[in-house]
Amino acid sequence: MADDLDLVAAEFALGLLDPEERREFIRRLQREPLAVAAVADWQERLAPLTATLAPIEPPAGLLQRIQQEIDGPSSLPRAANQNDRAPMWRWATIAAALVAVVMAGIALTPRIAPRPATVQQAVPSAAQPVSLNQIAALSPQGGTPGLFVTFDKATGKMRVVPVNLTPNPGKSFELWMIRGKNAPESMGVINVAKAGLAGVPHAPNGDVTLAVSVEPTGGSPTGQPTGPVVYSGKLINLPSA
Amino acid sequence: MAQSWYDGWEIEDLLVATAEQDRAAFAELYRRTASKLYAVISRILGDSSRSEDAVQELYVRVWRNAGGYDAGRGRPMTWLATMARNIAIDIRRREMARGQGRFAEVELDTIADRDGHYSGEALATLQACLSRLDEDQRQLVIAAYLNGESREELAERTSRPVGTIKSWLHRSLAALKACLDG
Repeated sequence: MADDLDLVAAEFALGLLDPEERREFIRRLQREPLAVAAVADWQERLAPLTATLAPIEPPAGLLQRIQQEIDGPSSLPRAANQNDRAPMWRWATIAAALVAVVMAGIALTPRIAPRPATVQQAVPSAAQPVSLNQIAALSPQGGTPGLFVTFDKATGKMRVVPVNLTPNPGKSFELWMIRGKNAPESMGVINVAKAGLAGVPHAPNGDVTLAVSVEPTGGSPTGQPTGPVVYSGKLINLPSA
Repeated sequence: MAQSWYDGWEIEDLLVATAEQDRAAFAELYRRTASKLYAVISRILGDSSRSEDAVQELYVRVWRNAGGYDAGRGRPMTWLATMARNIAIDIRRREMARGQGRFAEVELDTIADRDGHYSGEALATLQACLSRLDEDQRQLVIAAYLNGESREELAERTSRPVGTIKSWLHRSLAALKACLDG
């Protein structure tokens, strides 16, 4: 039901869902990377509308008030108050954070060195929206995803976005691509704290699984996984934009 | 200010520095974006003290959450505008639910680029695709996005039942998507 997903995503992005529908869709966002991608796409489609609004200068003291709230001890009680009315308040942050994950996936930075030994940290630069062709959510046996991987055909890069990876002292996480029944190909060692990019020698097609194994620090010494696979997921095609 | 340290910094760079708790960069980010985001919020909330509070909430959140946004994200203004809309719509819906909302009906304007945050091409495409919708349906999309109106308010605006609004919106959004992506 791709069309249905897209319409609910649009209504979510517009803020039109009623509270029950919204809770339901937020649960869906937590499970379905495609839903997150659909919301992010709508936000990008509609955001140019804000260009029609004439800027309004905020009152002179506002920045100072913001800075005081950031510094002040008063920020603690205020934060506590906000938690009291959390159900209404928090969804915006949750939604923004979820969507940020996808935005990280759809705007790649092209000036990255070739195939790194480690999944490279992305360099901040002018974001260039590009077409996102494939996405995988890697989870431990159907649990909450630990990371997302997206692939962009135009740049030939995979983007690895850790969302919930717990570092394992003395060990590294290594990302593998398994095409059909072929042997796993190493995509590099994952930095658990930062999104990174990896070059892919041949564009993935057909049945592709991505998996993360636990390896000695620095990665597998043999070129094949030596430790347990802790996250895995299928790479799925996104409808072309 | 003749020459600023931040000449040549993009909004994205300022967000990265804000994530590192660089206060001067945060202040510069505010200087560059507050009037636009104030406009986004004020269009949804109207009343100026309510809008000021929401802008304050927004920037406190930007300060605290900028670190969650990693390199290579989408357009930074989209992210900021999305957060601004979400905060303002939350307030609007909550007050409407309590029967406290007093929101002036806002006239819909034509689309004209007033700042350089979006490329002329993105804007022209959106404009062309919106103009292909029927007038009523175009107004629904714009009123929902810019004014933050709910289905019920849109129903009132057009004197149609909520169910009709829902299906009109679905049709408009599907058409808009087909046009924009096509």
